[in-house]
Amino acid sequence: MLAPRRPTSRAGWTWSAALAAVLVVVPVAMLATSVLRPDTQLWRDQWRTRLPGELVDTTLLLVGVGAGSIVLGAGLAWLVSAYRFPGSRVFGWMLILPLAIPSYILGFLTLSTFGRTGPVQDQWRDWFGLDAWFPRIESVGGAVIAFTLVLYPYVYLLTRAALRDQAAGAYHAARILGAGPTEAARRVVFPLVRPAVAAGAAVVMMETLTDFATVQYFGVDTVSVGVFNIWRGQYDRDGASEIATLVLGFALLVIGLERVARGRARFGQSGGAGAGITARTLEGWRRWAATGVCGAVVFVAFIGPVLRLSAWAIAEQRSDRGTPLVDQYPEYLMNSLQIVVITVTICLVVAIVLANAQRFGNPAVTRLSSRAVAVGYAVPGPVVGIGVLLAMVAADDALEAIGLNLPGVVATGSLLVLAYAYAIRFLAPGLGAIESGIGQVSEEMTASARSLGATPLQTVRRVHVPLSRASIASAAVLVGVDALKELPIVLLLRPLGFDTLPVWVYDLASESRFQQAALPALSIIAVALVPVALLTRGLDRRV
Amino acid sequence: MHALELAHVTKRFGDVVAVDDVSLTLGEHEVLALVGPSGCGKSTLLRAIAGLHSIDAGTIALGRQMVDDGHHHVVAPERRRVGLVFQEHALFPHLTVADNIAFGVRAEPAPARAAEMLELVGMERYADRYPHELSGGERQRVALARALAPRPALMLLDEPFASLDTNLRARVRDDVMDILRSTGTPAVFVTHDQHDALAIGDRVAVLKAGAVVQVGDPVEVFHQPVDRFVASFLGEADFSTWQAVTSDFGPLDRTTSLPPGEPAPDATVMTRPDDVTFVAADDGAAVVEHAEFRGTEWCYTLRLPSGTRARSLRSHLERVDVGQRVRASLNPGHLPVVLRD
Repeated sequence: MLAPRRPTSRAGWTWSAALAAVLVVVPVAMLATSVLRPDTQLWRDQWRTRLPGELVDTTLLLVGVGAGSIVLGAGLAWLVSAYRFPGSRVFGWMLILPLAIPSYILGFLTLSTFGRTGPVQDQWRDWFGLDAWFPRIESVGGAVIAFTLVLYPYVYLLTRAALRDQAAGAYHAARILGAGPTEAARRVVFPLVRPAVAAGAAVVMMETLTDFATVQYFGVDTVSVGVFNIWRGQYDRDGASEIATLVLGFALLVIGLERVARGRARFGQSGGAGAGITARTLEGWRRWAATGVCGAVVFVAFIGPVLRLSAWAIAEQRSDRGTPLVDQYPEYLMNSLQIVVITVTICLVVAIVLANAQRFGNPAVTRLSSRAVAVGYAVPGPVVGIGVLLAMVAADDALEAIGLNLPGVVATGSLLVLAYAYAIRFLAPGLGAIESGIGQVSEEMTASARSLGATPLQTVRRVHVPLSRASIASAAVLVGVDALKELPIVLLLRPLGFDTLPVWVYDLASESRFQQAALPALSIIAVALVPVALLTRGLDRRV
Repeated sequence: MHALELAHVTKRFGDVVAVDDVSLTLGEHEVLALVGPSGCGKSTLLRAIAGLHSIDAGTIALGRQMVDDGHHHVVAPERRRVGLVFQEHALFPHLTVADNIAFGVRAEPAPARAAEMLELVGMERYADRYPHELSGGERQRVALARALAPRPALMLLDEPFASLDTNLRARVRDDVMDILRSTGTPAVFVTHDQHDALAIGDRVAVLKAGAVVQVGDPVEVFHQPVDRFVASFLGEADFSTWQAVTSDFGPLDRTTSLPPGEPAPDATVMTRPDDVTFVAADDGAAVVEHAEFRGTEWCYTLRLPSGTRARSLRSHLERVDVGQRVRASLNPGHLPVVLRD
């Protein structure tokens, strides 16, 4: 219900914002309600066959990746913030680089290197005989390692920011009050960074939950894989949507856990930009041990994979098999660019409308709409994908009911459906960037433009957009790169014959054609490095 | 015809009444200063006039046009022909000075009008500069020129001098007033500074908790405040009772105007430091309690025989020690003011 009367706000802005929120929320809501009329036969079948295993694997995977990322991310953040050792400054930003490698790429690299047929195990068998024991990589454990290596930077980044902005002052105060370094860390620093660590771990677990491609390399069946199998295997929409509610349940559980872990503490990066903890110089063997640990992580999670991919890509170019790649590459690239451009355009337009609606529309409605839209980012890909399918089928039925029969708009999987799902998933980061940009434009600036005769739309065009150009650009980069890397949604919803670069990589890797997958994988990593580079630039900026 | 007519304007934010039944009019070329402490609702009122807030009751008319009737008829800010100037100037940082000024010009060739306005504010040489290259005073002039360029029917200025330092302030204030008067544009100033209010306005309206307490000529409002709030907000004031003041200062000079009839003995009266004078005398009934040096003058706090305190301004040459006994009196022609409350 709109506030009774606020004619200085424009109904158009209010309604646009509300519509955007409804379009984001409806698919998820439709999926969630499917649990209200469960198909008991389906659940019984699932329960007898795959479901127990999926629940166990999902739980193990989430807990493992969460714990691994906390240890690696928070530990490394503390190491590079609190100590000085050879290379500590360089490692400060290099440790973020693995963020540029999608899990479905690092996954097949891990497998091809350490898996049963990989070079490491070959060597192992040479040394210790054919029956020598080696940990099974094609397992939850292997998947945990792969996910942890690409996702720990989320925990690392948030922890470092918290250490810099909040904990440093308190740490020094504790030291002056007589606490030793360890005691200060335990009693002051840990409680202060706990919310940041929890927030980072929640992001990591969400990213893990959304995946159903990487886990399949490792033979791990999560609930997300279950959704994918039911949909792509049997095209059973209702079945897929019911299983997808389980994925949603796991997502809510993760959010709940984060709330609990955070307690009543607030995770905010505001506050005084502290000077940071004064790093202590490490002595003796410890300094080289610290360098070794950081170096090993960067090598295993980034440098090694990139080198391996490069070697493969070069070998593939030289192979006498010819290079079918060169012919196919432009096609996949064009597909990827097409969906990226569509997604970025939708997200930017919607985000600019939403961010401005908060200034011109009913404040209560528009603020609520922005929050609702941000929810999309926390909803796992399979849930968004199946939810959008349900929504489009409903829309199709509605159109047919009123006598409009538009063939192929829907369920078969058109580009429109795919873009819709992408927009739901990636609107939040774009909106965040643009909101902060427009937040920089003062209310007085808007008021001045209005009283100088500019309508809200003219104010947006002549003042707000030019002034938040940098934020709009970074929103475009964030959304575009996310859309380029995205695999789960496109696997679920792609129109027939519409293969993007990630799909191609995934298909090749699934068939163990690693050498051929190298070039597209490298291109994805190269693009994904752009936002990571922007992050590293902002990391050490002190205001 | 009035340039602006507010009738019973009321604006609420939730349970808070920000503007409470305000009625005011503004003459065709008049400048009105809206003054009050922060949070008194003066900026809210200004924003309601500009159309940035709609009002909950009452009416706002600009010239012949009803712009907000407190119900459904609300004219959008861009249709009100009102010029706005803010404390932080709110110049568009991505536009040059000339483009800033040309922003709102529609009815005539914008570059010519911008040039004309630049000349009016004496900024011709700055046309191609960007706002960040200007000083505070220069930005203020550009903001004024920008607001005046579309030939507004009314100017609204929200704390326009608050961001300027004291040295610059009086000069920019005078410049702005000269420019406004040369264009004959009626204006409403909002300020929390009593010096600005008294110096600028043809009339001054004092606001407290969303309501107008007193409105009138600056001299009248300063010298005949209706209550303690207005008296102390506009200048330094000491309060006493009619009975005490007549005994402390002796018989009053009845030749100047006093309110008709004898005030009640316990009526509140006000003196300002310039009203009170004294001579040092060891048998005096008053005593100097405190001395504050203000550069051009001394401000002495006296404890009078009745026990009330009053301040007295003296030339910087007249140095008196704290503890000195004095005989206090009122300056010739000065009278205590009897307040309503």
